[in-house]
Amino acid sequence: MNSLLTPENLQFNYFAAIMMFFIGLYTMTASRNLIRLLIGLEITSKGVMLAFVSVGSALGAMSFVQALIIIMIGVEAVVVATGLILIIRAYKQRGNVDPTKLSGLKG
Amino acid sequence: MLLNGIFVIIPVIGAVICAFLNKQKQAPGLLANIILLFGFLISLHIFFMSLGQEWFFGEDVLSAFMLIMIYMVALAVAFFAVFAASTKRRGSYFAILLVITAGMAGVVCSQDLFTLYVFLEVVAVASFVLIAFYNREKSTEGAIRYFYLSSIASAFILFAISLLLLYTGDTTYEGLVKTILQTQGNSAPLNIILGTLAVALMIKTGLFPFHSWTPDAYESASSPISALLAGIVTKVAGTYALVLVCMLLSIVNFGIEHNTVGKAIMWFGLGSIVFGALAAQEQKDFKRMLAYSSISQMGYITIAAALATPLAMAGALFHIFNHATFKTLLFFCAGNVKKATGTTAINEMRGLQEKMPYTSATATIGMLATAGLPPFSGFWSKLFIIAALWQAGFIGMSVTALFASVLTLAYFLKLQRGMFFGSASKNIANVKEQGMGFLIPCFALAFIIIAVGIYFPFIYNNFLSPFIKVLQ
Amino acid sequence: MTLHFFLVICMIICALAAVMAKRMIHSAIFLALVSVLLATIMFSAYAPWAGVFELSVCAGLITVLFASTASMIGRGESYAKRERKKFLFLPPVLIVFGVLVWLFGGQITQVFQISQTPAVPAFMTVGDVMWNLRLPDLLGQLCLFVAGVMAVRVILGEGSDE
Repeated sequence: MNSLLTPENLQFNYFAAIMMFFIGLYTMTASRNLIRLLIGLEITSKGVMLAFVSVGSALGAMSFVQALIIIMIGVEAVVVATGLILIIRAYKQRGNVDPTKLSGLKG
Repeated sequence: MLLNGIFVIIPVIGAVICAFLNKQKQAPGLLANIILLFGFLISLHIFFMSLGQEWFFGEDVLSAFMLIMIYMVALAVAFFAVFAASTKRRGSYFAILLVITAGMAGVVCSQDLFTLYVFLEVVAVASFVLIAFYNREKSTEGAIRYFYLSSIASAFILFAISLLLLYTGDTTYEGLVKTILQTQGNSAPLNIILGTLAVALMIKTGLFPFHSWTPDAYESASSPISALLAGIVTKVAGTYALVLVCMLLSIVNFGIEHNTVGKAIMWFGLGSIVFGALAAQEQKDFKRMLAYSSISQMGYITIAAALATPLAMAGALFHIFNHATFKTLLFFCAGNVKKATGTTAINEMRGLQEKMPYTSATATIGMLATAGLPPFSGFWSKLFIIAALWQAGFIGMSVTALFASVLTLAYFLKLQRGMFFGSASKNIANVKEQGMGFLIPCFALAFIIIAVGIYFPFIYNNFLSPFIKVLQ
Repeated sequence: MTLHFFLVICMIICALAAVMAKRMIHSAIFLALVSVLLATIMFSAYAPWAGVFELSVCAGLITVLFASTASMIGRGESYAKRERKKFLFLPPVLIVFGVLVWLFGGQITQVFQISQTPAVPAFMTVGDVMWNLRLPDLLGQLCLFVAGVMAVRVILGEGSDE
């Protein structure tokens, strides 16, 4: 199989990565719901990974980029797990109140 | 990194051992204190060995200096926590303290933006655990807010790294510096990359538009933890990296003009100086007031770092050190007051100085140093910052910073009058001064503040002026 | 070439569906789909190791974590009804943003087109890069795992003790 991801469509890939990043960032800033926030975080990091892969294939530094992506996936798993733990704790404490709601962000 | 990797590896091993000693009463605290003390001594040694060396990102004078501060504050907090932490889960408590120390040491030792990102996440995860350590609704809320803003910051950092990878094919500081020097005059992409990074790090620092997590987190965490968070974590996770970014920004278009992104960061710094000082006037709680005061002081550091002249940079680093000492001291005093009286609300009691003379005296020293009064250390660093602003032609900003300093004095005097001065009110008749374990860290930090203030010429000649020369 | 375009566009659509879904479990499934598509792109770009990790950790483990949280909280039916209105604006906003980026992005990518040779030689394998060049990152990951274990233990495992 030839590489689908040629250096020529780097521009398209980066465009797609920016789109993914925008979706994630919109979700993270617009939502006061923690689970949706986590999903937004995941989507931003997927966008960044797409950017990494396309940069790696354009530069011919695939092994370097793969190492970065593998470490990033590990980091992300721990962060998402911590976020979900915090949500479960909030649910236990508040009971009936919507546990995922963030009550305002005023200082 | 691997040269200084010992500062990361040893605390992590200590943390694992502490986690297994969860049911022991004294062992985890003792182990943590020993590890941090040794780390502190070794970092002092490394700092004096590397004084006057060439400027280089990563393992240099700056990272040795930050290591000293990290281990100093962590040691003070661990010592205080042995007495102040009211928990049976002491193993877990000290284990997280050691993990966060390791994470911070990793942040300052890293020579690569991606490594920086990984260690920032270590610090962030450990901070969530520390904030949410006690099973209170408010703690969880504070941790969740920090999580919310911190994840947005990480997304920005990652995006900046991917742009950087595209632009330079490398993620190390060295490669970045090389690219910047090669492409003088074409500043747009570098400004985009470094600006994105700066936004992320301003969120982590808790500057004005992104400050909403700090007061909650500091108020809801227990006192040793809020001392650690305000004293060192926000500085290492946010300000240290922001200082690096500002230094890089200052060599983009070097000598042609003052960098636009740098100027924008200065405005953010000025905004948080004024906002923090004004918002602190309104607070009714000791710890919340300290949180807003922290926002204001972070503004001073940021404005100086973004100005990036040698004088300003020296002022910024000196103020980081001073702020680490006096804010930690003030949070310890708040912890003492909370332990003795059960509350930190300002207007509920008066005349604590009769009952708690040592806490009151050290708190006064801390406050005067924060406000920047002459004999104390805070005066010199603020003088540096304001003089550097004036020298660089930002006269309006320098005058505003000066006025905000007066505002700092105003809210601390209000606090003093409400809490410590005057004759003792009835509801604190049974209050007693805390034991020596609580007071020794306070005395040590107060001693550092006074000593640095009085022996300033010595410190200037030996540490600051060589540093300024290195920068030039 | 066209297959690649198709995969990427599918990925963006799945991402949109994940944030706009009404039920938590649907969000998790769409997120897993995004991961699977990304893993396919990685395989096709000769990045097999990254693809494997993406499939196993992101599409597998994280989806399981989301699903178990959803069932534990018991609010799988619908979540945060009020703010769903905000997300109806997302597709048009995204299209406007995309058109703007497409129009002006050309210049931006021109600006970014200077990258020279990569710092890491191409003949090194992933393992070499990991163990020789990214050792500090692995150290950081070790710290992170300790922190994560402590998080689970402190926040979920132990009760309150005040």
